[in-house]
Amino acid sequence: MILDQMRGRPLAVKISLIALGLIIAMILLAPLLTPYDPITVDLAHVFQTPGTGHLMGTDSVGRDIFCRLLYGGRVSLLVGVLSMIISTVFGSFYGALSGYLGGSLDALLMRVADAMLALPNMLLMLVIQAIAGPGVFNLIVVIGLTSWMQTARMVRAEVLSLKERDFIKASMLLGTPWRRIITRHLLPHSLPTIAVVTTVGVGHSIMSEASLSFLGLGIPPFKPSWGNMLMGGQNSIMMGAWWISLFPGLAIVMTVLSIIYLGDYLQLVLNPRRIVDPATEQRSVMYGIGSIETAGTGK
Amino acid sequence: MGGYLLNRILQSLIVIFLISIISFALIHAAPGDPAIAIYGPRIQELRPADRARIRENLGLNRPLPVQYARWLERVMHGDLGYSYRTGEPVWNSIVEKVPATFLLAGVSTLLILLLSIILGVLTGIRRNSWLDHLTTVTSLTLVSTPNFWLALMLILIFGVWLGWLPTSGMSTIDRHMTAVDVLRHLILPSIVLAFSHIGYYIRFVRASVWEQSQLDYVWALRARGVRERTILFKHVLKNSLLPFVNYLGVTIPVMLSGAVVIEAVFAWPGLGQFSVEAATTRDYSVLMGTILMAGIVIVLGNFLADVACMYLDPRVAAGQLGKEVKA
Repeated sequence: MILDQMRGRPLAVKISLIALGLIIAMILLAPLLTPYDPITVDLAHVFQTPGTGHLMGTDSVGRDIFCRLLYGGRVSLLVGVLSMIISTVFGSFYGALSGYLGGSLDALLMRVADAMLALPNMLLMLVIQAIAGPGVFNLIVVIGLTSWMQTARMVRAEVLSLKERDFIKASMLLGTPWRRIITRHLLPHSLPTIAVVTTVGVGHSIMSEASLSFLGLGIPPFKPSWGNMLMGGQNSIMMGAWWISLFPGLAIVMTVLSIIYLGDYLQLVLNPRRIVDPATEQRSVMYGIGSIETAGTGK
Repeated sequence: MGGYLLNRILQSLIVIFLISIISFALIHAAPGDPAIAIYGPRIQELRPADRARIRENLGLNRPLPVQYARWLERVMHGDLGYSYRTGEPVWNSIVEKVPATFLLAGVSTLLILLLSIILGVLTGIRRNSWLDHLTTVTSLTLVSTPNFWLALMLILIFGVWLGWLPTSGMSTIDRHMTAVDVLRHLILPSIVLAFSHIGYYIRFVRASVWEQSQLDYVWALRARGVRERTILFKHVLKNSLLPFVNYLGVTIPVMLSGAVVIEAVFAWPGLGQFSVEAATTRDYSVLMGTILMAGIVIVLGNFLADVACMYLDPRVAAGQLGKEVKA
C-alpha cells in the first residue's frame, strides 16, 4: 500500500508528498470546504482581516481569499501540468530525433534549441503571449512551447549514449524503421531522464503562470489563479493589506518546493550517474535542482 | 587556442543568426497590418489603393527571404523600426533603458558572487553540517519562491511597515538625482533579483568544491603536508571556480528573465519594465527590438565567459576539461 511505499524514504520526500496530496485534495474538494463563491463581488465585506467568517480575509472587492485560493489552485495546477505535457512530448521527440539523426541535422536542431535557450524565457513568453492574446488555453500552449529545450537536450544526450549500445545497433542492422526505433527503444529508455525533467518542469510552469498572470498577461482577471490573486494584492500591499498577497504566495512556494524536492529525489533514485553532454563536453549541470536552471526558472 | 576561439565565434554567430530569424518570424506572426498601423487614427481615409502602395513601399509584397534580408540590413544600421504606441525610434528607447537594467543586474550579480562563493565553499567542504542543511533548505525555498512575491513581501516589511526604503522608481521624484538616492532605490530590487536565483549558484559552487576536493591531487597535496588552508584557497577554490565563470555566462538569460518581472514590480525604468509595458499594450516593434537586443547581449556575454575560461584554463581550449581520471 501507499504507506509501505512511503517507509524508508527521506523525511523531506514524505513531507513533500503529504503536502502535495493535501493541496490536491483541498483543490478538488473546494466546494465542500468553503461556502463562498470565488467570483461574486461582496462590497459590504471588503478588506476583512483573516479570522472568523473569512479564514484568510477578503480582498479589495470582498471576495473570500481562502475560497479563491482553492479555486485558483485548480487553474494554476491545470496550467502547470498541461503545459508540461506539451513541453515534454515535444521536447522528447525533438531531442530523440536530433540525437538519432546525428550529423548536420542534429547540429542545426540543437542550434535552434540553443538560440531559444539564449533568449530570456520570460521575454519570450511575454512576446508570444502578447501575440496570442490572454486566455487559459493560450497560456498553456505558450508556456509549453517555450520550455521544451532543456528536455530536448537531456533526451538527446541520453539517445546519443543509447545509440552506441548493442541492442540499438542490432535494431538498426535489422532494418527497423527509425520511427519505431525512436518510439519503441530510444524514448522508453530515456524515460527516467524525462520523468525528472518533467517533474521539476511542472513547478516551473506553475511559476511561469503566476508571473505572467501577475503581469496581467495570463489568466483573465475575473478568473482566480494564484498569479492573478497576487496581481490583485499588489495594490493593496501599499495599504498594509498583507493577507491578500501572503496566502497565494505561500501556496505557490509550498507546491513548487514539494515538486522540486520530489524531482530531486527522483533524480537520485532513477539516474544515479551524472549525464555528460557529449557535444560540448560540459557537465549538463545535474546536481539536484541544477538540472533545470538553463531552461529558465519560470520566474 | 585559435581554433577554439574561431569555433566559439562561429557558434555565436550562428545562434545570433537564428535569434534574428526567430525575431523576424515573431514579427510576421504578430497580428495587424503595418499599413493600417501607419495610418493610425486616420484609418478612415485609407483607400485600398493606398494600402497597396504602402505595402509596395514597405516591401511587404516581396518574398519572405527578401523581406528578411532587407529587415536585417536595417537592423544592422541600428534601425529597429518605430514604436506603434509612441512613434519613437525603438533603438533610441532601448539605448535609453539599458543602463538601468545593467545597473540592477550588475549589483545583483555582485551580491550573488559574494554570497554564493562564501556559502558554497563553506557547505562544500563541510557536507552534512548544520550550515549545509540550513543553506540547502533556504536555497531550495528561495528557488521555489516567485520573485515578484518576494518583492511584495519585502515592500510590505521595509516599505510599508518600517518605512525604511523606497519601493518604486530609480530616484525620488522632484528631487535632484544623487548617487545615494539611486542606491537607496536599488537596495530592494537588487536583493530580490539576487536572492530569487542565488540557490542555484550556491548549489553549483558547493558541488564543484566538493567534487574537486575528492580528486587525487588534493590527497597528494595532503600527503606532502601542505596546510589545509593552502589546499583550499590555492588549489581547490581556483579549480572549482573555473566552471563557475562559464556558469555565470550561461545563466545571463535567467538573470534577465528575473529582471523583467522585478523591474515591473518596482517600476525600475529599465528594459524589463519597458518590455512588460510593450507586451500589455501590444507594441510589437518594441518587443521584437528588445528580444533581439537581449539575445545579442546574452550571446556576447556567453562568448566573453568562454573567452575568460579559455584564458583561465588552457584545458578548455584543448578540449581536455572533464577528462581527469577520478579517484
